[in-house]
Amino acid sequence: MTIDYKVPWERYGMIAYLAHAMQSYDVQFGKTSMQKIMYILQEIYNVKTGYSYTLYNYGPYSAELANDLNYVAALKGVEVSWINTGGYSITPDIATKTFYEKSRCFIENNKNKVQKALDYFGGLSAKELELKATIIYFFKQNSTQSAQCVAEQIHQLKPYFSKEAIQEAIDELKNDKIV
Amino acid sequence: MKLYYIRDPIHGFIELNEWEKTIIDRPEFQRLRRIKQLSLSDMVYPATNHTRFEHSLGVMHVATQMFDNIVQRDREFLQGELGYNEPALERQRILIRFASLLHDIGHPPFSHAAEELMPIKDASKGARYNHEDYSIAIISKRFKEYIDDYKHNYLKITADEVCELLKDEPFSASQLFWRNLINSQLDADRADYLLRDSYHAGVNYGKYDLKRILRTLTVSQDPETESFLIGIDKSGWHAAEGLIIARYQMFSQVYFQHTRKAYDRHLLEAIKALLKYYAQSDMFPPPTAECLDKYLDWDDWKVGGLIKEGMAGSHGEIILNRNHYRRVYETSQVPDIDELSEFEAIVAEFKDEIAFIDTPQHSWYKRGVEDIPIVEVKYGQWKPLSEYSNIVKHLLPCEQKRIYVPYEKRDNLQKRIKRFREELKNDN
Repeated sequence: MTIDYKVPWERYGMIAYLAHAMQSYDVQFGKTSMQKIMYILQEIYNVKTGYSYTLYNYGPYSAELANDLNYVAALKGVEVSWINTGGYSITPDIATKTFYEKSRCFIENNKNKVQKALDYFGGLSAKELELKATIIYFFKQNSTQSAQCVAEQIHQLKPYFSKEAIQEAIDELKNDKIV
Repeated sequence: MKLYYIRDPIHGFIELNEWEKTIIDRPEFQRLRRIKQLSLSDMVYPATNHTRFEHSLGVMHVATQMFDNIVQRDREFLQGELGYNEPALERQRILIRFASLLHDIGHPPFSHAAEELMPIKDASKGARYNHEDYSIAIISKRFKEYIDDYKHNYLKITADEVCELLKDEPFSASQLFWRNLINSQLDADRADYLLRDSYHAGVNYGKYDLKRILRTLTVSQDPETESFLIGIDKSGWHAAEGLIIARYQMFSQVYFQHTRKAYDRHLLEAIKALLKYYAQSDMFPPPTAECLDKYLDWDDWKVGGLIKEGMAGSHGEIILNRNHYRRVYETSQVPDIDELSEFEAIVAEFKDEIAFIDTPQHSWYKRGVEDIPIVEVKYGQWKPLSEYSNIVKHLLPCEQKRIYVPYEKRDNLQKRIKRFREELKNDN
């Protein structure tokens, strides 16, 4: 039997690349935002990182991605720091470029998709991303559900989002053909 | 309702009521007496023969204590933000006890070792069923009548509500919040298994101050998203630090111990051979109503008996004779970029001789350094534990990778890998 093993450079590289690319947006890019953007990249823009997601406290969440982020941070691919005003911030670190080089082919092949995703979602706060990623998650689970039904379910799950805000976000995503 | 008390080496006495005893007495739950908690860890730590049965009782006990402490401390928040009145709290307590009692009911033989043999759930993503899927199927199909129709079920508890606490997709804010007691970095599952596994392994690594954790559990709101979470009050951060260190050391010393990991692989291959022979499949039956009996028939006793009869192929023989594959090379605990590249090169060079590779990705146990929210202002501001604890801040996630080969090939391959690494260094 032949054994094969590949380091998941693509995943590590994408984490490092997002930390770099999100520098252009004037929002706090923390762990929650990283989770949601990576989820949206995979589900909507077909960037194949292969993470599996469940619905956790703040919407779609991948434990594998959380582990990879810790590891990439340990190797200085990104810096994860806590901001005194609240929440994490993920920024490039000394090895960001090395991770990019290791996954250059994958990043270059997906660069346009990532840019398209960030043009749409990159300027959103963690809270806005939580809502939009959760909406996408519900529609991905069952694409035939009505918008009203999804809005109702999300409001039950996350009462801190008003029904109006949820409906508005669904309409926006539908108008822009995201869901 | 009549109460019962079961002796437990970790928690002293565990209290059960008549309703819970009815559940425990069902054959599906009694099967957990025949599923070892730590698989074949007894090949390394001979006393780790404890089972999912006592762990399940322990999780129910700890989850109840966690719930009671949070209610005692944060009743006002629960009433105001999550809309709980007294009967609703009583109801929630029952649901949490059932969910924690039954959370492992769907385990395959030898716990996590055989989870890779569960069938594909979602072909488009290559995702397999996991033991939680089986737990949910068993609760909803086998325990419904013992929960929904129980004679003293005055609060109209349902099996479906119990499942909701265990599902990936809960549908209410309150269940999403309480699921933290069953599945989070501060859950009752880990709280119990660290203490229980360390006790049976005879190591001191897994010990931490559970009583202090319980006394300082509290609720808060996330500053980034405003969602609710469970954390530790600032006064208890040293206990939280102790919990993280306990988890870290148990991972490196017990759960990821190199010989134990070899036996996980041998078991996987042995069970695969048995499934092929008996079920003409290399997977367990799926968690559907018609297949549950077949699935539940598989337990450690059945697998062990068939291994003893020589039905489990070469890996069964290896288990019988404790002649496991040996670790021939391993990276450091936190390999850097160069070491990762070197590991890839070693595997490519010796790919035809390697028996298997083990990585922490193959381990169900949490290897990373997950942060715990430390709540500074009641229902408000919090910081991660790593902002308080320098030890936690500097703990790095274990990403060690290992190569295994049969015993008789070890010395030869070790020498050749050493030589190959020297050549790589010279080339660079």
